[in-house]
Amino acid sequence: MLVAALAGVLAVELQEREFAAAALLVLWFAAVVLVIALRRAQEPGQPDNAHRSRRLAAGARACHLLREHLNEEQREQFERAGSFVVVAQSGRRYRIRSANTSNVRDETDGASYCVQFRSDPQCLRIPLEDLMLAQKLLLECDEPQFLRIANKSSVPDRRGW
Amino acid sequence: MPHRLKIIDHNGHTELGWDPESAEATEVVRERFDALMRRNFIAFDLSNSPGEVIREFRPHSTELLITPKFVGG
Repeated sequence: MLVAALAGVLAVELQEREFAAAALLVLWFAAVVLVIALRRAQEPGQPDNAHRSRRLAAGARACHLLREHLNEEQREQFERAGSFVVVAQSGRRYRIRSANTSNVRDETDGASYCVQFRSDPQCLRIPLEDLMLAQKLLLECDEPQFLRIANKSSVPDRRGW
Repeated sequence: MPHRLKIIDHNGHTELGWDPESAEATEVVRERFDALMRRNFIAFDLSNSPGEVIREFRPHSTELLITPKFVGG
């Protein structure tokens, strides 16, 4: 009975030791997972941050270039309303606004025009302000080409204008 | 006065400068210009106002700007 009692005590002690070992193992595993999670939290998506920084820098650069090619009145319009008026070769006035599509409007008849850069991956990342500058230059320097290329909507679109 | 070719791209724009007195420097920019024109880019000479659409490189222009081809959206 004493042996049995001793065996019982020993078994309990072993169980306790096994339990302690298992608990230690679980704690160690949890610590490893926690360390990995903390490290990832400290370095969140570095490639995304670098990409975003490049996009912001490109946008700022494009905005600066656009403003360099606006006269004082256009600059004020752009700063106030995000759009500016361009006088084309024919004398017609077009408003160019900060939007990706159909962002050019004939101020006389309200028709809107959509002219964009060709759709390849490099062009899709060109900042909007560069597109606005290119549209302005084409209207001023070769209005017929602009009108040939553009998709025209004769229905006046007053959204955002 | 600096002579600049500004290429509209995903960086905002890329600038190339050249000195018309230097044949080598001029040729480098000319080759880049011609390569883009072969890809149907559109070039503007902005040395004077109003600007002008051009098809050939102008070594004495002070500001050239070149953009990708336009399409109707």
